[in-house]
Amino acid sequence: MKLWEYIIYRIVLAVVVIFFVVTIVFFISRVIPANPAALWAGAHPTPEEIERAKEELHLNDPLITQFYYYLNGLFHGDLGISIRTHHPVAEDITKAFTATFELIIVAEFFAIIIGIALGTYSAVKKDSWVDNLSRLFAISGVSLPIYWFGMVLQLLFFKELGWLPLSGRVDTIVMLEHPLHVITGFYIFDSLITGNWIIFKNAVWHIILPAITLAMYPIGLITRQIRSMMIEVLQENYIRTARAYNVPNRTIYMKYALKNAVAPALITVGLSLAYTLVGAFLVEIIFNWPGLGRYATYAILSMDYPAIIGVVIIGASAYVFINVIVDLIQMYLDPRIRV
Amino acid sequence: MKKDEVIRVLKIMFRNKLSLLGIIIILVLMLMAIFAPFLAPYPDQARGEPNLEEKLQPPSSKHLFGTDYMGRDVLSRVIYGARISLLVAIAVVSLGLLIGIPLGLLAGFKGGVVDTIIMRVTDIFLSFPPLLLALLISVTLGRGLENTIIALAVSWWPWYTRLIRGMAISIKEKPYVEVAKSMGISSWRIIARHILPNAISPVVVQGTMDMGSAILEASALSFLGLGVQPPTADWGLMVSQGKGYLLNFWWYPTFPGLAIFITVLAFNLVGDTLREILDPRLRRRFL
Amino acid sequence: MKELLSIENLHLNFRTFWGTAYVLNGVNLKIYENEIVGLVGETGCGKSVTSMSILKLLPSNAELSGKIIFEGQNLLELSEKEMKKIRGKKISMIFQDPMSSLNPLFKIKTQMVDIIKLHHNIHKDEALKKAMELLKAVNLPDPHRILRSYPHELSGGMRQRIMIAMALSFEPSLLIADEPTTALDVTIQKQILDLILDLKKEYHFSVLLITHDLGVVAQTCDRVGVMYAGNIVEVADVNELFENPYHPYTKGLLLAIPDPRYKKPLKPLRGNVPSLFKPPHGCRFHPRCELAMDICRREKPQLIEYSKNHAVACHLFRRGDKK
Repeated sequence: MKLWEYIIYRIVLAVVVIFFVVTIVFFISRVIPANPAALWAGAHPTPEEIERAKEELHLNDPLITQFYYYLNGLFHGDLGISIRTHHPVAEDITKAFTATFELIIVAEFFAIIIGIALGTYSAVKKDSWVDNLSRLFAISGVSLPIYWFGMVLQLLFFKELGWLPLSGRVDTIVMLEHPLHVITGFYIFDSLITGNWIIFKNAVWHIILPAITLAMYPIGLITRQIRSMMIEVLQENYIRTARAYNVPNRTIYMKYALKNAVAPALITVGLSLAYTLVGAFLVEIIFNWPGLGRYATYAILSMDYPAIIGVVIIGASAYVFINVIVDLIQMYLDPRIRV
Repeated sequence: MKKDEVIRVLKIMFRNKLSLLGIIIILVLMLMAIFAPFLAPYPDQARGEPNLEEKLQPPSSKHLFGTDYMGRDVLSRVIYGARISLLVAIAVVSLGLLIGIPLGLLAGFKGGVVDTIIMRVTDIFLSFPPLLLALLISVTLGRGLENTIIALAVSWWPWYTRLIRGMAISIKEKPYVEVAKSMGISSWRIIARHILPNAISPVVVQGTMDMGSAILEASALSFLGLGVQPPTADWGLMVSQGKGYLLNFWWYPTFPGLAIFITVLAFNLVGDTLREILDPRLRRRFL
Repeated sequence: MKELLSIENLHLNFRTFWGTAYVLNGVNLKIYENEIVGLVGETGCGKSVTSMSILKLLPSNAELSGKIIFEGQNLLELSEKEMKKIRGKKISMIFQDPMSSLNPLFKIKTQMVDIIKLHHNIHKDEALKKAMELLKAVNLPDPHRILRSYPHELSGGMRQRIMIAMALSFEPSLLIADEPTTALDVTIQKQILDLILDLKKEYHFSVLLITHDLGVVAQTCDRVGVMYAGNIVEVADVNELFENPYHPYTKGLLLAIPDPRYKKPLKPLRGNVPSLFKPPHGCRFHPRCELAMDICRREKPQLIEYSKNHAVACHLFRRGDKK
């Protein structure tokens, strides 16, 4: 199979999977014991108002017809109207998505760097006390209830030390005094290119705690994966060859072994991205971060099913496409699969 | 696994400091869960009885972990919480195995269309980000302990199906299975006699290692208000309830959260060491 | 003949999860200049580990004692820094599986240039030129194409030639070849062995050829050592060993191969290779030996020169006895 054929095959497969996800989520959501029409109609609705709401939401039509309407909307980028906010779900999600994405990128960035460094070092010093310590740290990372860990960090760095802000994305007052010209929706990036240093500093200050909280799980995951991959790779014959010709350890670890270990570890990075996606749900609640997670939680609490489906579809699609991209990068790195 | 191999593995587990720590913690937790009524200083409060005169007391000799917003002893509730957590872990994993193993055996042994259908369904389940599917099912089924367990098990089984399918395929090609087939022995007998006994141990090991994650995910659902309902003493729920009291009454959410962390850590320490011992790729080339 | 390498009473243990493995139990072997010495034995008898000990390429859980004298210095006493002047320069090594011995993710060019550049301290272009010369020296056609290839794009024979080319980059005085032909087709085996013989004539190095294949030994070696469970049990000139083996294990080995020179029925050795965690006392071969005596269970036999250029470690052959 040629490379581009494989890429197309993977994308088609991804689209099929997403279609199934949409189907399942749609039908599950219609079983949810709730009365969306009553919610839609607002406070203290009359029976007529509820009836009109049912008509507007197509709730009187057979399920298949409703599904058709939904799919049709989806093709036009329409995820329906949120029952809670009365805004289009797609609009709500786009706004929330950049906030979540900014958080995930920063967290994942730290996780990859720390994970690779720690995992490599641990593998090279296998069974030493450094290795044991880093193993304990890595296992702790995947064992933390992150919502609780976020609270502990708040207690420590906000209440006790007073170094970092409690929650939010930027201080509202600072935002009012130094309005940010939003270009991409990533505050750190936008403030950087518009030279708005006060907002930049404020945004960085705010992202530290939630990003650390969110990074713990992927750090653990990546450290463990890189460690076991490196241990395996370091036993390979080609490493022995390199040693037999005096290639320096630094070159062996950082060039020969790491490239071999990174290709499979990419799967873990993809997996950890998915975890941060879901982890962000919990972290955003704790840190009052205006992202997808907070949006989804409110949606769940108010049984706002168009919003719930919307978030699930976006989350699953992101997950599926992350996996496709990871696969393709892996092919690029490993010439043996590229044939 | 042969008997002496099991003994050898156990020996190493006890010799390694990290896994020994995990084993000890798990044993303590089990004892805590079993003898909760005798260990908890205030069993009634652990079961939910309010004690409004002593609201939000800091840790003291009377209440080692302080009290919650209804004046209940946090220590007692943490001890009782071990029951829920262990129950969830065992139930989710066993239910996942119960669904996953037969499907995986069927897919691996039958092959063809049956295999394709089962594996595509598995793929779709696995293409949900973790926890998201459980969240969705939880929302659909409604709150409560049973529904949390079902929701987690439903998102859990595909991993086991995939694992045991791989095992079944490799065993299917062994000569002794070919011989059995050629002698006209029925599929079910071959699965029961040859494939299941050889394929099951890695899956069960995987299941044991997954208990920590099951507790973690269940606690997350509880935290979101989708799991166990008050007044039951559940760690995730206690952290959730204590969230608003964090800055002024730190002990309230801190101790239940610590209990989750230590429990999950213990399971993962044991699981990680087990994985390292059993994974042939991680063994040294020279023996 | 000048002595090049002398292994004296080499012991090697591995500390593992499962206990201590007693892998080498007093190995003695000499290699002279400009000769090919074969080292034969079953899988797991310690052949490969012996060669890895010479280069000190053992994992950290290895415990090594004894002496390895190379050009007058004891390698076991050298620091890692001093070892670097020997490893890859004076002693080169090629391995059993040329596929896994080359890094699959890097082009041949990168891997060869990295090594040549490192030792000769030269610029990349010169290193590339040198790599090209080396590939020509091992009779590889179209070196340009080969340098641009990944290992998986080449055949097993070509990969082994590349390994040999890398080994030649510093004109070593000793080439250790660890099962260099085992993973190859029979026709390619012959070509590779011939290449090693040709290069030896041209570059005047000695070869330690490790193999389990007595046929390969007969074709190429001057002298041969037989290894069993961490001991050298017999050393002799090739013809002498095949014509007149002393040790019961060597005899067993020769009987176990289908050789037209021995028109007897095949007779495999009875029993199994002993566990290295609990090796037998005395002579490690005694549980499988049909001629075992009382003393074999108690005392380890020493390797003695029983007749000219023919040493054996067996209680059946005592010093001073004359057959």
